[in-house]
Amino acid sequence: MKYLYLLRQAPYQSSLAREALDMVLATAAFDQHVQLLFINDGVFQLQKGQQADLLQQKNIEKTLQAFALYDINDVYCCSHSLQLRGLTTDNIDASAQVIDQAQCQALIQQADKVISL
Amino acid sequence: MPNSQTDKKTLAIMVLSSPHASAHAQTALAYCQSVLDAGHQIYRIFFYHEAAYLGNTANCAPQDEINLSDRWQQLIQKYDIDSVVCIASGLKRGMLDTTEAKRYEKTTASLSPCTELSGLGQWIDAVNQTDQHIIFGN
Repeated sequence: MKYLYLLRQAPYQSSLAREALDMVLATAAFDQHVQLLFINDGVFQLQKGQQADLLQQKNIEKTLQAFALYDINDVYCCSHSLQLRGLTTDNIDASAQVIDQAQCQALIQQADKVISL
Repeated sequence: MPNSQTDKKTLAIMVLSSPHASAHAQTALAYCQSVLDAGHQIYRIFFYHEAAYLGNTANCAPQDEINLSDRWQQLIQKYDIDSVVCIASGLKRGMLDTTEAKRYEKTTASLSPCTELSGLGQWIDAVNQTDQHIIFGN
């Protein structure tokens, strides 16, 4: 099955961003094909230079680095969501491919299962 | 799996919200009752994130308020629905069955016997096996 996760949560607002990533890794561990789209406030998860220790939280960037180990290579970021939040491709992790809204739609259409968190 | 004989569907339900922080858990409950009334089948309910609290047996609602955890447990029992509280979400929120209570040296179990603690594999299985999955509350 081809899973697409729409990751919409800001990284440290609640534990849901982290728990959504746990679900992503579990899905990959169960041998499903996993694609990720960071969208809306979820784009903040991709920001470089997060200092989560100041919030006494685990750094979400470390989880992002684990994607490759789980064979998750299709990581996308919505350009419109970035733009609305004053971010550019320079601000986010280089492993994410920035795509426009038409490409986001195409991505959603080709997935067997779409999980929006 | 899709059933060509009828238009009835099999569903996987995920709930993310605690009983009191929002109306999501109550909306999800009403939805489950409605789909069952309409003859659809719920393959599994998976309580994740804050919804782990819906597995709690220890909460006592005032008499003039509904006890949402009890209502969920009644629905699960009445229709004999497979339901899972995510073990990672559950443990960190104090939802323990007798095995886990013993393992973590807590004085009592808090999880309803109507449901069980298990891992995310149960959710992925449910999504793979059903026509549709629906997530409530984020």
